[in-house]
Amino acid sequence: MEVGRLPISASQRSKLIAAGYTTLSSFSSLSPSHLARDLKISDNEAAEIMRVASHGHRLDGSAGGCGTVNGAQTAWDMLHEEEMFPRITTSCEDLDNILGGGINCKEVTEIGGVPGIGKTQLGIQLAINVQIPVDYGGLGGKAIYIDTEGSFMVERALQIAEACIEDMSECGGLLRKDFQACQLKMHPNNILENIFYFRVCSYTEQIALINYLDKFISEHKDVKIVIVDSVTFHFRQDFDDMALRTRLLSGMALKLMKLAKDFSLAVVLLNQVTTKYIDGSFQLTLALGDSWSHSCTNRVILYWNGNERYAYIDKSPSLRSASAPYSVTSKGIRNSASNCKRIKMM
Amino acid sequence: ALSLMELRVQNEHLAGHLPTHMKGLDEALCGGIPFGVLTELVGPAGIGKTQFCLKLSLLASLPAIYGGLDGHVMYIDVESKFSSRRLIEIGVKSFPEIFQRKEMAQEMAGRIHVLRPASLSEFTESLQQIKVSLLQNQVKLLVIDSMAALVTGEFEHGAPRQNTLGWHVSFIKSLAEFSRIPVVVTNQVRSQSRDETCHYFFQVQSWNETIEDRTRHDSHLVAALGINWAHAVTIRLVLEAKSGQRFIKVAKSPISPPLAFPFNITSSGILLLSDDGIELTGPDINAIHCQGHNDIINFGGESLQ
Repeated sequence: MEVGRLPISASQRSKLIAAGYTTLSSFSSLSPSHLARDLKISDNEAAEIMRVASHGHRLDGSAGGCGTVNGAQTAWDMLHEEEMFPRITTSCEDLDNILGGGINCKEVTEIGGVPGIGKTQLGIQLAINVQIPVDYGGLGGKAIYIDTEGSFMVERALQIAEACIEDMSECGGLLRKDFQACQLKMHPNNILENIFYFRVCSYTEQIALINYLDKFISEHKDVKIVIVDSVTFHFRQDFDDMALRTRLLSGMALKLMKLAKDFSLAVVLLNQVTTKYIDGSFQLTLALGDSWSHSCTNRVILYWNGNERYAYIDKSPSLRSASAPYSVTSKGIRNSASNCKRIKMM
Repeated sequence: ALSLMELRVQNEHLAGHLPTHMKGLDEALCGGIPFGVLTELVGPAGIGKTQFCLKLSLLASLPAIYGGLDGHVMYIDVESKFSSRRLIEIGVKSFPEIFQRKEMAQEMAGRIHVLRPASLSEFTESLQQIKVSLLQNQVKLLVIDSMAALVTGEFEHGAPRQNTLGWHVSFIKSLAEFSRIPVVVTNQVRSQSRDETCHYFFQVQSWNETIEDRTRHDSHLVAALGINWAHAVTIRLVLEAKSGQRFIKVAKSPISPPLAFPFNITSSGILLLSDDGIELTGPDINAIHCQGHNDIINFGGESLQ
């Protein structure tokens, strides 16, 4: 259906045509915010145009047969959206490979492991990697780090930030010799500035903070990752009422999933382990119980295999179960020393 | 995060670390025992945990010009192992220029307050009182020796130990954080029971391996207080004895690589034999060995001056 036939104002129509949208189908699969950015109009106006367009679609009897239920998205639209957002790299190529490129936005990823395996290290690495500029294949976003156990050490974050900038300028030097425009102006202090650090000391604070994040992120729209380290700590100490715990946890999980979906950011939850008696022997599983294990979209377990650290994809709707080795170095998370591959940033 | 960094560097003495005067360890820990987090010392009996704590207490009470924190120390001594005579001996041998004057020794020792709670409930009470004195800004170090001894006396039937200390752990951590002081806790070891595996469901073990593992487990020690506690501490320093030599290992730390340093106990406290640590890969860093330990103790009077 032609744009010219839409009942919208002349200025909006001319903007649409100037931006290159001549038929309805060319912009009907976009999200209103994307359209707003392209046409340089407000979100509300874009939403209005989309609404009129879909109405027009329905009258036409063309594609989109079943009337759109408010809030529903077709699978095709979702595929387009997924491809729009790059994934957050973990700085370890093997780990990125099994994760399908990195940590996915709009999803809740849970990462668990024994103490000392590198969960906090991975959390800090992701908080820094989300800030990699778009030119270098990153998201150029900010990070929120919610610390429940006090294990975030600023000195270490500074160390990893410096190493990340070093790597980026190395890659920049190799690939973009003639590109004077993208001079690397990042300083470790800038990176630290873009990590919003929250410290919570009890489970009530934790829940209150997650409720508050909604407002915080609408004010800081460039936050692209929320890391909770760790989500279990306050729920494991002296909790007598298990039913209450399960309720609180599932409420929290729903809120986090909504955050991830609404603001298109990645949510990474770091979890601890506990022993469980299964089939006659004790085994290690992630803490917080069985009902919590349903709350996250993806699950990654970090474990020791011989002398190496490995990551195992335990649960994911789109990735297959696989293990990959990684190592923790003074520069952060990197490939394990046995596979010597260069880290590709692009 | 940037404001955190600036706050620490500008406001805090020595950028937020208490130097231990063991050069290799201080380098590994980016300056020393960090403020605001829980540091755990775990090791078999007689390896030197209390000696380490005594040295740290002394260092914290020293004036700033000598590298101390110029503050008071709360020493919670559950097992009655605190020896003031040994404390003075360490002081005299390590800092002879300060301790030559009798008043200095008295002042330094006067800054170390020793509490001896006889039960968990007394300990809880003391914690509340410590919070008050922390608010008055005088206490600069909290030492708890040992945490495990608090629970072992309480329950006979192996009731859920994991939750007993739950509240205390959160409380101590929040104490450490809002007052920005280092907290050092010692822990005991226990032998690993046979049916404890450390594997996930997706790690398949062959039957042969399990037989070998069982024999390995018999000589293996693990830290007491369980895995919940292991998650809660931020830095874990393992003291062990391997082939007759004592080692101090940085087993869990967000800011350091896994290093092991050999050390000896001398009249001036703990002395590292080498400042370049041996880097250990793999889960071995967490293992606690006790080989040849008896030789060290039996040597006793001869090697320890």
